[in-house]
Amino acid sequence: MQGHWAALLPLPLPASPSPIDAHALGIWALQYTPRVALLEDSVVAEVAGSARLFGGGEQLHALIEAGAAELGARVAWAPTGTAALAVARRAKTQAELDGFRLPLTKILDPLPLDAIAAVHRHQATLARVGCRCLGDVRKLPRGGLGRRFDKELLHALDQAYGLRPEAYDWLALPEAFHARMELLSRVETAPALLFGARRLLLQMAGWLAARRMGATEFTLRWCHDVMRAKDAGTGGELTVRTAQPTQSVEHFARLLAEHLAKVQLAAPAGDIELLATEVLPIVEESRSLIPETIRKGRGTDLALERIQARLGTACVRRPVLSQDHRLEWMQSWSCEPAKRRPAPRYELPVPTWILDEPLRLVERDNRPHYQGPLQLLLGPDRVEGGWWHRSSADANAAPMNVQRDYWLALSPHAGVLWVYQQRLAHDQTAWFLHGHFA
Amino acid sequence: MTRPSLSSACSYSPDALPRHVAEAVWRGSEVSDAVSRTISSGFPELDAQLPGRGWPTHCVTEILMPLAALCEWRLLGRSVPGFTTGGGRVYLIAPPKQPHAGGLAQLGLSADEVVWIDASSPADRLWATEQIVKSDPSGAVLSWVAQARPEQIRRLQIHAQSCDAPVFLFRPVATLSEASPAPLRVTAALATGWYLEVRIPKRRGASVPDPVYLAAIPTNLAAVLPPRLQSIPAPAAALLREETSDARALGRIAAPPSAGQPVSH
Repeated sequence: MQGHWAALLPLPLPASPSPIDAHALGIWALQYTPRVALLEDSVVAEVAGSARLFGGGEQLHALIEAGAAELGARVAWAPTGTAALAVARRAKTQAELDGFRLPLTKILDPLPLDAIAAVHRHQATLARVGCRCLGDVRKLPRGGLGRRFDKELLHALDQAYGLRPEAYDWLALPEAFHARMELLSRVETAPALLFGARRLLLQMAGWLAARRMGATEFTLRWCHDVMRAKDAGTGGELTVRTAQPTQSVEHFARLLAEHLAKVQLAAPAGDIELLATEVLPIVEESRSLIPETIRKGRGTDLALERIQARLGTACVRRPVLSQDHRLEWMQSWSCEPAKRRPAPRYELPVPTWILDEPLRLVERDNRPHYQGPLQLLLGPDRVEGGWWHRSSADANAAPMNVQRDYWLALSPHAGVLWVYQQRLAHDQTAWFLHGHFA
Repeated sequence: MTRPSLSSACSYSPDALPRHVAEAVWRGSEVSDAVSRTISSGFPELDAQLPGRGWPTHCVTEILMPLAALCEWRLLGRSVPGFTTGGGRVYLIAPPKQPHAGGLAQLGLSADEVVWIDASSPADRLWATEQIVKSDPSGAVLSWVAQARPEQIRRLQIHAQSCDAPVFLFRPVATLSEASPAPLRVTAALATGWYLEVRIPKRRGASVPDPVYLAAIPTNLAAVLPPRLQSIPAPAAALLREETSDARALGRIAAPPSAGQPVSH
């Protein structure tokens, strides 16, 4: 039975001096099929079994080709692995990369001798016999070929033509992810590291997809070039965390870009290295025909993470209500995603905006003024408590207890206000503005 | 589809037109029907004036007020149940004052449905708003962008077209003189008593010359207000002493302010 093989041949990219390591490419390809092997300097993968999972052969072709183009590899397709590699080496146009356009013998016969490594080894002898292409070699008598040359030649030829089964040592998925890359030129600013890091992120996403995991934390390390100042050190590192385990390269790249924008490189960097430091099993999205509405908030959570990455973690706040009658202690703000907890319900009306510090109001004719005289509507509502509360543990800490008479006030210019009257020292009282019923 | 009938002085009646013609004709006097989903504002008078009878989704709505933190929740508080159906959250981007979750909970917005995004510089505010709007959140986006140029609003408006949540931009009323790409602009100001004066300077459809007066008692106050205060008398009539004697609504009688009580222990 003939399979459906892809051969991935690393090519030098314009952005990087060295082509991608075949082993790294193999790990990336493991997300599409478990049957991935290293053959000479490239990767072959048997994908017939997983075509249905990825929505058919054409979809899978497009997926692998798009990914490989970004990583810097050329993909060829053929019914056998050796043939796919031969096609990948010798194809001159995009159409020739597809080994299924003609019967296999018609594709392999015109290829030159160096397309298959075992044949290439005997090229000198074969050329003198008059062989120019693989078809010529195949026409030679088998018995003579077996006696004159080593048995690998016939073996490889038979495997390429699908006459003998191919046996490979399948690549095993490593337990931890670690990838390293040398940059084309010395990079002097941190944001420019992202161009190189993207390739490593793609590899990491492939590893995560193969393991059915999502990363919640990854670390980018960079090594400084040898031409560096003495105090620069050997390198630096940056750890990026996400709240939800994810495999999305776009999300990783955006988060990394936000973090890199704040980093100042001490010296030009020559190498970068990426590690997946914390991974968790991921709940995969089902690819269903009917669009789902439940997962709608997910994109917004990612947007909130991006905002936190750029503006600071403390910028996104969620309220936590607590049992207290004092307005300023009734709520606190946390940066963590809110957990659904039973909210204490406060019976009396509470304003929707609150001032950080109560504002002392001027008083004329025993009445508070704030942008004109205030009309007091309802009150007083006595809030008294907090005698247990001190600002710190010291002996001279300020007490945080309050005794306030809250009033609902109406101002023609400032709307509905929540003001209070408080006793000061020496039998004086003062009015404060504390919130707005806006 | 029913069309408002023209006056009888008109020489033809809209029913006389063939159906496909009548559907294609748009009259300047009518308010356009919104194509997208709308969320009722909770005020029937205001809903009647808004295209699609409510706050629109898939577009940016500008709310212009003389002061920030003046009457946002009095205007929007009644549509909170509409925002939070189906697990929606309300995103507050750079609000002018600290929101109080206790007060918002009394409007029906529980603590885990509030997200406060604090951004100080105008560029960060616009960027954060854009990120949230682009991610197509469920709920509502409330953003205070005072100094935004028309092209920045246009950018938000383009992103909002694929956002299935209402997007409110709060801006000072002084920006009314500038053109704005927002399809709906609403000004809100305080009127006498509990009333809010709401004008709609721009909407899809005919312009609204007359302001709409909304009896916008804050939702959490409505339950505790005594009937006497449901309509507020003129300020001169209400005196401090009278109010002190009427403390029953809040349930407690406070000691007169001069009564000596120890303030601290």
